[in-house]
Amino acid sequence: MISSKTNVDRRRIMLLGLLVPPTLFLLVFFIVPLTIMVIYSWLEPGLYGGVVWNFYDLNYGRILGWADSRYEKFDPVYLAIFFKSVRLALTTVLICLFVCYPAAFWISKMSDTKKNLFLFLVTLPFFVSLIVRLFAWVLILRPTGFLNQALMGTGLISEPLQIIFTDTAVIIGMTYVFIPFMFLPLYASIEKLDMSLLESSSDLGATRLQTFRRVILPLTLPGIIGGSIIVFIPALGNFIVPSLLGGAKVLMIGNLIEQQFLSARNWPFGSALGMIVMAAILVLLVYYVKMMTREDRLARTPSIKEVQ
Amino acid sequence: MSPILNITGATKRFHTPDGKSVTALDDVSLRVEQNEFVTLLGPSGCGKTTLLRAISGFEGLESGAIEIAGSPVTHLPAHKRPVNTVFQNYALFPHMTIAKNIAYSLDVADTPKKEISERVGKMLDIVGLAGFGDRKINQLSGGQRQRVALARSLIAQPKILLLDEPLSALDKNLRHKMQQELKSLQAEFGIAFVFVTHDQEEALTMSDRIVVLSDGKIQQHGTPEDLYRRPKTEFVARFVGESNLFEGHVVEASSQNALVQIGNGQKVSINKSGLREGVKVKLLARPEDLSVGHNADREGLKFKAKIDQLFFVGADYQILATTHDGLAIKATLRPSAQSRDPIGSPRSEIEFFIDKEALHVIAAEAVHE
Amino acid sequence: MNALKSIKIAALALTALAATNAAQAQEKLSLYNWGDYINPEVLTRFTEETGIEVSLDTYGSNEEMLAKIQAGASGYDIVFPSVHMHDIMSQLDLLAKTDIGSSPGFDNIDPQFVRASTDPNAEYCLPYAWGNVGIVYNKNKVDELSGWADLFELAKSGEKIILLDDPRETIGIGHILNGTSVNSTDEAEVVAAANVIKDNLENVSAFSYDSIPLVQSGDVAAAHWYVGANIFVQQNPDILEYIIPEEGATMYQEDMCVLKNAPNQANAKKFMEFYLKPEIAALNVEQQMNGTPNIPAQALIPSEIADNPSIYPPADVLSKLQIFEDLGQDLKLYNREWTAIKTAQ
Ligand SMILES: Nc1ncnc2c1ncn2[C@@H]1O[C@H](COP(=O)(O)OP(=O)(O)OP(=O)(O)O)[C@@H](O)[C@H]1O
Ligand SMILES: [Mg+2]
Repeated sequence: MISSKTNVDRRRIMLLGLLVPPTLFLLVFFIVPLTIMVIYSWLEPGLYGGVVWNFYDLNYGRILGWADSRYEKFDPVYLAIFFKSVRLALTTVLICLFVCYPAAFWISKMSDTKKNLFLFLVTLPFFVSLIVRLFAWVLILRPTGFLNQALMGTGLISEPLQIIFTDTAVIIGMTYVFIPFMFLPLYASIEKLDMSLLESSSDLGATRLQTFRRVILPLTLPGIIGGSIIVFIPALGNFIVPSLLGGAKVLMIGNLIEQQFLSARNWPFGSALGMIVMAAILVLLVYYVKMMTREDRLARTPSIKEVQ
Repeated sequence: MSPILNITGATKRFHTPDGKSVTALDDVSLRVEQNEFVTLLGPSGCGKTTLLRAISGFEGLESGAIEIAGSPVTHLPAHKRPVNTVFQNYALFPHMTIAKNIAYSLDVADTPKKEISERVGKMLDIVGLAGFGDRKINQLSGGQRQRVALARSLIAQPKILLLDEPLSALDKNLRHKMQQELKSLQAEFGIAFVFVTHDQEEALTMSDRIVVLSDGKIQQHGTPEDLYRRPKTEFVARFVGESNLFEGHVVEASSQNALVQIGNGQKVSINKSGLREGVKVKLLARPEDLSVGHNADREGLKFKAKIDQLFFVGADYQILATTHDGLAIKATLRPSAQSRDPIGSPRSEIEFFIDKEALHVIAAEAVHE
Repeated sequence: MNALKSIKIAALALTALAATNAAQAQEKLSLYNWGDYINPEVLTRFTEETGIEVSLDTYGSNEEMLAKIQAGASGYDIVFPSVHMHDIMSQLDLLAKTDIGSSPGFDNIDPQFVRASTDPNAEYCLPYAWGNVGIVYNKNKVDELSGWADLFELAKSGEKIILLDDPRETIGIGHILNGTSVNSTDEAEVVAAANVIKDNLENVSAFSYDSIPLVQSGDVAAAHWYVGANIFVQQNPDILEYIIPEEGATMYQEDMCVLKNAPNQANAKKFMEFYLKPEIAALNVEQQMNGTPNIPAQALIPSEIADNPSIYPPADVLSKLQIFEDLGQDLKLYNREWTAIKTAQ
């Protein structure tokens, strides 16, 4: 008895020892900055950046509608930019999904050496600075750039396509940047997919489409959702791609936030905008977690019938 | 009545990445009757799975044709063939409940909901899983999964059920139980089962007919008794049941009999026609065909031997012995009801007798594989 | 036992490190400057002459620099704020008093460049360089371009133009065309100036600092850029041209200031005095192609720079250049209008 009790104690101490470092890490690198952001978003902006320690609700007022003065005026434009960003980010997610899904299937069927080669190629862009890669896209997309020259050379078009500095360029750039983030979780779930399930489905009379809808899709759904979230979140807050490939004419919520900190000297307003983005993402994540736990519960709890 | 399954001249080659080619099916022809339980038996890599996959439509053929219930299906995709498969690993859908798994083939065929739930309920009853419908696959034991896989494949009433080593993952007791259940399911549904195993005991107990495959070729097919008593080749003899094989040659042949001399000089006259003089043969005797001591009234082969090992297995003794001229002998002996004396002990001398009626001749051309 | 030993060794190593750091601290200077805003040769010379090792970090805007200094970026000795930012930093008490104005070489500096109202006697900062913000264009795309109106005409005709991604510079163009001050805090005037840009927005392909390569390749016909564009004009005289628009333009001036928490105050002062030398100021201009407040330096500058009216404009043009002042709270008007411009399409 005694020894088992000390055993439990020892285990508790060990657990504590194991949990303290990650807790501290989260506290220092996540909770503290987040708390600063939350607090700042309710403070008055300092004239030259920083904050004045007075409670101030007009940062949210500017975004959500109750601010009305010479300096702090409600403008629906902020929400409009937010929704535009959501639209661009969602488009990016969808394109990434459409590109990566078949690619992941294709690669998962290859021999091991080829597989490794392709997985390496997918992660290759990470070895080069993002800015450099995006400038390369400027060179590709501009009117006298590689893409237009190639298309005009083959006679497909006679006038250069106006892609650079448009929404399209931003979507191309973000798709390019985030494809690896979509690919890896998708690949992980597709690689795990048991091919005999597909045969079993077709054996039971399902057409290819039915097999896809009823077996492949639900089984790779965790990868699809995971990849989509991992792409959506940074795409929503991205400011580098719109400023380089969108020529800063395409304004996303990330640019607006960056602008508040680096040129408008309005930290609290920047924090408030950041909080709005966070709130949206939080809602999304809560929904995701809820859905996942529901699936899990379905899988684990015995139904009433069996209990009898 | 036409056979439910008719395969003619099926040939299938695989090309391995290193440029070699493997003949997995070599001119295989096979007929399966309605309501027949046919087992494909053979060593690993002999083409059993390939043959099943050719029937179900997952593997195309180089040449040959397949007909199911009289209509050709050779070029029909898998989902259009009226056959279902129970896979070795069951391949149950992990994201669906048991009821959903079983209902799958009806679901994809757009069967009305009401009919589906009735049929699924009935199916669950039949396989003894009533009340388990809402569980997920990972909440089931191996035997239960097996039953779900069976129910799922049977619910759409296929013309043929294909089973690829469905019992190999189960422990021995469960395996015996499932063997019986499979048999009774087959009787209940009245459809043909094509069953793959490499366990010859399983094949013998379950099948109406056994097809022995080796290197993609059918070696022999017939009833379990046929294969056990009258194997055509040494391969079949060795693969099905335990065997003692004695090399010899025909020294005298008449229209009905042949006199065969085996390696140690003994001669025995066998009741078999069509053997020419000088032909090499092998004589097969099953372990239970051996008896102890010499019966002067009967003609046969006798061997003096020394017991190497002796196992008592309840009713019988199993004996491994070596004859004085070096042949290995396997015998299964049942002591007579009167004498309960031990038959012998290791290293003791023993004399075996094999009645000539029990000897089966495997002809020379079939001797070497 | 072992653990103790290794701790001891680590401690020893740390003290040793601290010691060498202290020794080297005498020999270091850390600059925080705009990107490409000083001739590297100047730094090399300084190191040769004094043995002080110079490190350089860069920023893209006054506000970025201020935000980072305020957020606690430390270790920098010298920064290069524009005049209005010099005033802000004085008010925020971020600058160190250097008395550079009483250094012997300060006589070289044209007194009209001591502009910051918070530092009338140059007790803190040294006027560093100045220039104007005009238009660089591709001569193959447009024959002649003389001002902002021309620029927007060009854009209307279907050619592409790029404006700077800077609220005050770009709304400033509107002010200049409307004849209002670029430092106006009158809401109506600011809105009107912003509307000039909005009206032409369709024809502006981007707001960017990275426009020169696109002008050079002909992807863009003209761009709003700094006088430093002359560097590229000099390299490609057949293709590029830089002008000060006839309607007027903005000008900028940066001052060299020492931060209050600078770790190497003495070295910083040495660098300022070094930069007072005419030959050093001239060396910088030679590569930067901008203006220097150092009078004797102007005699040492190569004639193609000294005689270039877009770098050293004549008095009548000079009088049309406006310099930005700090707007305080009213900067918000500009930011608001800037967001409105960006979302107007
Ligand atoms: N996809 C394939 N590619 C290449 N060779 C294959 C392929 N599938 C099977 N083979 C080869 O064909 C032969 C027959 O294989 P099959 O799977 O039919 O054997 P099996 O009798 O089912 O064996 P086991 O009892 O081990 O399951 C083997 O030599 C195997 O290596
Ligand atoms: Mg197999």
